[in-house]
Amino acid sequence: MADPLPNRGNPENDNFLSGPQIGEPVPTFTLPNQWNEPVTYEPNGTHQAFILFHRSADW
Amino acid sequence: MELQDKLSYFDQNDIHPYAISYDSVETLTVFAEKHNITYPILSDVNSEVIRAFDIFNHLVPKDHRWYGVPFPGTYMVDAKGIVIDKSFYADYGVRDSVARMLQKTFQIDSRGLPVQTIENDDLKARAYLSSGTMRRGQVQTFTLDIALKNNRHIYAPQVTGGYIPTSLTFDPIEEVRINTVTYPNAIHKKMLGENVAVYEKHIRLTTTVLNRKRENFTLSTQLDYQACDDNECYMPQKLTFELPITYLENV
Repeated sequence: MADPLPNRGNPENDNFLSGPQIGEPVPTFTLPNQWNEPVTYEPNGTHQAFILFHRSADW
Repeated sequence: MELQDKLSYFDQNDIHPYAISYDSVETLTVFAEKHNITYPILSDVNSEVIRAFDIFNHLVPKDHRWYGVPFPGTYMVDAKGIVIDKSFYADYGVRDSVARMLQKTFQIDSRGLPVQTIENDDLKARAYLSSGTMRRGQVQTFTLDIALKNNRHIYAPQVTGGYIPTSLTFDPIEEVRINTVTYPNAIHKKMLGENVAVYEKHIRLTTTVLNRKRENFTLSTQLDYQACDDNECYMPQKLTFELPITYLENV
């Protein structure tokens, strides 16, 4: 069992000030997916996006 | 995985999901095969995109095996690439359910969510949750929509002067945290020469429910109010709503 992360506590999402805020643009990106194919996110005026950040799929 | 289960809602509403972690492609391949994940889960091994978003978890020491992880959370982005909503909790064991985010930000209700409707001469009240299933650490939205009937009004929580305030209370449940109820803004009605804080027509009360339980449970809530019209007041009422929730294990 690994040590817990030191940021535990204070579950208050409205005050989370890191990263883009509401009304601001997000960065574009290209990353490999689970089949090792490049996937690009770039706004194209047609589809909305749901960008999730996970700690890890491994633990 | 909850997102995989909800993929049809994403397709129908032209919302593209992207899930990013610092795992290698090999780790993601194994994970995707094991859980049959068809939406893109993306490998950001050097945390470059995590850093570009400025959500790199700088609190993890460099020699820790978790060095490189992001603060976990979700951005909901419009077609022009602008953030319309975001969901982050400092406590990494807590997260909004996908169902809650779809409902809150994109106004998409999941099928089969628990609903109870009560109607009487005063009002029609509909209580519902963003999902009928809950995993441990998930946050769901509880909503109570009230439509007043017969030109009746009820009283806002801050009302003074002997009027019965509207109040929504929840039975405590071990390992389930129910947040403070958000009441809408009252309107001020002139009655007997004074301004009284009331609700008319349609109102919505909401709160959030954070689950830490590992079993099914029932969310039980009571609405207390008294309805009046311009001529008379009616019997104070207590309505009880019970919404069953099925526990799902995290994967």
